[in-house]
Amino acid sequence: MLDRLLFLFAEGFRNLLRHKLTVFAAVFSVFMTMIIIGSLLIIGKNTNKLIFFLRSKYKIEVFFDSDISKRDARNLVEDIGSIEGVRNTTFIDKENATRIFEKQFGENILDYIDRNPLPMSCVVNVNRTGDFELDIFPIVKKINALDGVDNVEHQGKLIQRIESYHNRFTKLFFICSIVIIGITITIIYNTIKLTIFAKKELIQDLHIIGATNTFVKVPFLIEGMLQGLIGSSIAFLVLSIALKIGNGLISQFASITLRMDPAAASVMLLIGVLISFIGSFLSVSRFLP
Amino acid sequence: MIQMENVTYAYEKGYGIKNVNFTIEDSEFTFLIGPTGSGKTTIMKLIYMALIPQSGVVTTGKFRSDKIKKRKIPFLRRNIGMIFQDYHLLRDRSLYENIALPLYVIGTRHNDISERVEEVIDQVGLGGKEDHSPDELSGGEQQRACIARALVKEPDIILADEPTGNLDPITSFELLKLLESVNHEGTAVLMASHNYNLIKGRGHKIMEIQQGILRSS
Repeated sequence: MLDRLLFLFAEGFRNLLRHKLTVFAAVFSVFMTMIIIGSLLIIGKNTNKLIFFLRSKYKIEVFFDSDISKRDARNLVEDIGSIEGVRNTTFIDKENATRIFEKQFGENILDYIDRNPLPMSCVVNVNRTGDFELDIFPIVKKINALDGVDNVEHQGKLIQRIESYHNRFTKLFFICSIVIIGITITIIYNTIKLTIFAKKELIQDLHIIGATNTFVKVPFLIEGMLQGLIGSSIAFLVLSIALKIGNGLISQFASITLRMDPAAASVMLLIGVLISFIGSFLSVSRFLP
Repeated sequence: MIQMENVTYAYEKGYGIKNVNFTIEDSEFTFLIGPTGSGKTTIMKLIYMALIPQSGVVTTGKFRSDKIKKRKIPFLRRNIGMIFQDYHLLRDRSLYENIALPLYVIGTRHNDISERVEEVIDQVGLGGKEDHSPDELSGGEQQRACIARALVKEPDIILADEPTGNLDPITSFELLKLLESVNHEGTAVLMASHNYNLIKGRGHKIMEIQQGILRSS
């Protein structure tokens, strides 16, 4: 059994070496596909990280009316804390506001003005809901409706816009990948078809000497999968080198590091092999019924 | 044993065989003679079930044409060694690889393959030419290589379809003697030929076919 498998594998490899030009075309198309899909995967993955980072920074700052008492402000903070979607709240009284001001601007505001003009406020952290978008506006609306609330500050619109672009990008990525994969499957299909035609004599002889259909088909499937493996491995290497160079350049301007995690690399290789398997399987089923 | 009972097969063009009956026993050497287009190759194809009769039954060993499933046909062919006029050797492989191919198909262990291939190459007198490609061999040597490829899996039956068609008389005679020696070891041989001079007086059964009808057997 093992000897037979080795023979079939050797036959697949032999096919690969025999039809260099068509094999080159197939490997190159897998390579290009995986470069595009790999790049999109890396961009997608890193954009995801940015989105998660932004989501983790989701916070609402609520400023209270200047004439409100500390006790009323505390009650308001409690009311805000009970709104659905709010994870926790931090009350900032006038003294703390002065300290924060000093920390941020390096000056104590009471050195210039004899009364503290900073309002009491609170920082509201919202529940992070994982992968899907977070709609912050209902929370903001409920806070704004409370008596004693003067102003509500948040980055909701910016984050929403980024999320919207991210969603569009994900959809585009999906459509592009489907189209590219379709093209590559067609190229592999035609490469295997050419190999089958070139090996008509061998196929006929194999049938005459008692080879089963599976025995005849397997080398072509192996050939296809090898094309996929080679194409996607080269694409993986090229992308790894490009990432290294790219990160070197980016590090001069920003502290962002683009990464390709092992899972993405495995997915890339798997997609490459799978695409080629589908292409060769369709071809073998059509031309070696 | 090979048996045909009232077998008819017609191609769309109209040629084929009609109501053919014969039996070839185990270890029997049989000639099938007839002019080109008389139906010799059709009979061969029906025996290894590349064609299934439109009426009648072909029995090859334990397989019957009216009962065999398509996926079982490869297993029938593993008991048959085929020899063709135009050799059917693979040009891009060495003599050794050509002869070893059937053994890989039937799943012989790698170590046993080399031993068996060497043995059969010596048997057909091609020792020392294992690494030659078919193009480096003469017509007679190529046909010997075909015989070796047919013999290597130790078949019960050898079907030789005009094996001497491209060979000169001396080489044809040597080849015939080689097939007879194979037959002496117990393999049934059915050899199709249109060269009556080659086969006459050999003491084997002769079946004659003309225009798809078996005249004598």
